[in-house]
Amino acid sequence: MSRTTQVSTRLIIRRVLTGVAMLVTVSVLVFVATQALPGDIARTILGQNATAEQLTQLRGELGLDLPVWQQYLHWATGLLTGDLGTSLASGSPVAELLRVRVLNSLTVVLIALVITLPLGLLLGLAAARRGPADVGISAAVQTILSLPEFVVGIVLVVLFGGGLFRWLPPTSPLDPRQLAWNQPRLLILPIATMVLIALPHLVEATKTLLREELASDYVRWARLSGLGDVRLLTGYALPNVLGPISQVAGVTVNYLLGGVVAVETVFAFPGIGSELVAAVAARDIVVVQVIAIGIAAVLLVTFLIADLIGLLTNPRLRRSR
Amino acid sequence: METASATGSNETGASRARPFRLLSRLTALAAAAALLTACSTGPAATGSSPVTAESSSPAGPTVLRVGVVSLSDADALDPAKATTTGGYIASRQLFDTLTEYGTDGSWKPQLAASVTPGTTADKWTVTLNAAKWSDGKPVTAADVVATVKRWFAKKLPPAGSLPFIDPNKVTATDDKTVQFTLKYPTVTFPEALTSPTMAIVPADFDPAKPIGSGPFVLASNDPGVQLSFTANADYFGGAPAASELEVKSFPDSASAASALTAGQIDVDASLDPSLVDTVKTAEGYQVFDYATSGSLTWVMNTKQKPFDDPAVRQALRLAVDRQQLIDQVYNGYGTLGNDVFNPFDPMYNSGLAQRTYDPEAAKKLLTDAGYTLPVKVELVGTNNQPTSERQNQALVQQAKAAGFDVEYKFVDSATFYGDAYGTYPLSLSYWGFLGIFDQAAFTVTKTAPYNSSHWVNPEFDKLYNEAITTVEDTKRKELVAGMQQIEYDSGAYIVPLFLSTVVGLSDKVTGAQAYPNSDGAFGYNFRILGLKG
Repeated sequence: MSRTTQVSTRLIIRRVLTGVAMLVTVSVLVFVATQALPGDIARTILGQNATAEQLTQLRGELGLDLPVWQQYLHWATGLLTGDLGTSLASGSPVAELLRVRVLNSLTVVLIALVITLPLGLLLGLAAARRGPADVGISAAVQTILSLPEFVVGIVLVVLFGGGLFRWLPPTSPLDPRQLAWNQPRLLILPIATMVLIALPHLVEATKTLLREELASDYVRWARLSGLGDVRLLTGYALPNVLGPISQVAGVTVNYLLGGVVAVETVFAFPGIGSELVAAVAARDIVVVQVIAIGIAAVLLVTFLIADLIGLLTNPRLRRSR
Repeated sequence: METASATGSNETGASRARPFRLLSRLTALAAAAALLTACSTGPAATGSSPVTAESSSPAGPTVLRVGVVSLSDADALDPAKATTTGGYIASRQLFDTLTEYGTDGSWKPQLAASVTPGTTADKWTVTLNAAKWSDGKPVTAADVVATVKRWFAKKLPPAGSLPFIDPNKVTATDDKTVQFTLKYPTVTFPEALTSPTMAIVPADFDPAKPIGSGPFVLASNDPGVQLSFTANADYFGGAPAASELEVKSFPDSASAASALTAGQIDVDASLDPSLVDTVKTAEGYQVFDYATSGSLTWVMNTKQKPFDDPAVRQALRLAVDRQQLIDQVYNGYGTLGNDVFNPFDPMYNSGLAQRTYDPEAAKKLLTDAGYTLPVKVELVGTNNQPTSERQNQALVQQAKAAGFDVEYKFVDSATFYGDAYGTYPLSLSYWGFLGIFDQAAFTVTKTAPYNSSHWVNPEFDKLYNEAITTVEDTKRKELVAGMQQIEYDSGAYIVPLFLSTVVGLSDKVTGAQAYPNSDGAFGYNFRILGLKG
């Protein structure tokens, strides 16, 4: 085993272990946080006409009368055996409840990612060269960055979903009996919103990284030896910043996942973001837990992959090979 | 375009557009703005509705798409456990109740062919229509008996609402006849059975596969997203006009309204009155509204200061500008309330003078009772209805002039109905769609399970107990008038207005009718609706 592989393996193992520890922390925090909220699911289910007797009976049925740590352990051990648990509100398995919603959210997040990554790199590259392109792109980036996420969605609705142009459906109440993929018209505005939310961060970071690289000594020497800007950017600066940029791409996934909550609410889109909002409101702890852990797990894997790319493109490690 | 206004609707001020006033949420505001701009772009906006997604093909089945705010994971397919919009909707499509409140607001037999009392009001005979379950078996008296026994054996909510039923004295005398011998005479027995929670289910009922007798059969249930139904061609009341029904969830009234005017749904079942004009001005869409017995009622807690003092309660009642609430919060859609329940009940006391906004009289009541102004009061509210927040905020303003310093505290729904429920000094509750007797039994009498005002009046209870056993209508009406007079003079509820049900409809939708005594658009009786073209 070479030294590099050893280093990488150790690094990966350390990252995975940290990740697992973080997941456990997240799940405990979420559990504690939901306990701290006033009111409980029994009230939500039984409504304003609930009698004390009915509440006690339902809390017993749902296991809410057990000590908090027992409720947590019960759920956590279930999770380890692959059982996501049973939704307190609907009484159906969480896996079944979330299946369509996960597919819906995944569809828009993945499509948004596929659009955002190359577009963000290209625009960042274009903006790295000072000039009119930079001014235009930077202005657009700053404008969007200053807007809250849901406002971006609303602006798109106003522009294309009935305000100025009636080109696209203003809401996206997907038919749950079909795949989101088969209802493309309903996906356009949510995806566009997500791209707009995530893109500026990527463009800005790419631009900054490339600028720093362009200001370094080797680039100045290369420029003195007659290399053009474009050649410099694509041939020298870009490969050198791929590691840091992959980290930024990881952050992009973070923005996309965070964006689903706002985007799904604005568009009446049935996904995990809107479900998370509903589950918190209903105090459906089990569903809140699963979604929170799920999002945290996806992020951890994303950053792990970003780390790996960073490792493989690290010039020092490449040299030692 | 035009308002298809049903009987009893209050049209005054409906045209006074204050669409965006007090809108608390930016989302709603912006979506509304989108709608408004849409309207100004003219006919191109709708017409052949190019943005219609996943709509039915003309030759295919008629699919009626209804938008509601909102479905939830807690929607129960077991009607006895229904406490949510989705649960009530499922119950009304899949099942039938023995009786229902009809289009004139009075009760009529539904699954029952007749409900008749004996010589005293403690004996009732129910005969059944020739209905079938969706698996083809007939609906029998034994099913009715099993349904009632199930409520009590499992302590389901209907058991709590029907204290006069003795589950051991409900018997099937033949295939289509059920005899009830009640614990005490109850003249309101038929109307007490109208709630969607009291739907009749088969004796071997399994909520996981809900077999019912109703106008629709469940096609699929995606909790919190969509309820899909297919028509029950064998429905005893005649097959519904639509062959499929899709009930879709929207997070707020504004997104449902924009989905309607974009052709994504045919019925917006929960149109916020402030968005009415955006629907009316969109070509191809109209607003259908009717007055109801529903109300957002302020509850004054008589166990707490200052509402333990009847003078303060009367003063706060005078501190409410009811007409202004209707105009500003409800965009004109609503009818004046007089601090007593249900104007659609034939027993309603219409002889009480209409209470009006009188801040000076309120201040005098308070100072005469020895209070120094302003009197501080905490008001706790949640968004139990889309207009609740705005109604509460309006009270804060109105009561200021009448010597009250109302401090409004908003909490989310789960918090509101949490452990502190029933301890708030002043709060806003959603009530109504109950006959006067049921309302009293639920929220007014000493033993009422949901009396969060904790108001007790022995004189009221005495009249109530006498009235509920009085079969003779004129005599009973007198007694009820006495009950409502007491509530009017010293009660603990402020019933400022009665809500109108406001529905957004595509012009293609046919068959809309008012159900003034039932919660939800058309009482959620979507079987009455059809689609043209």
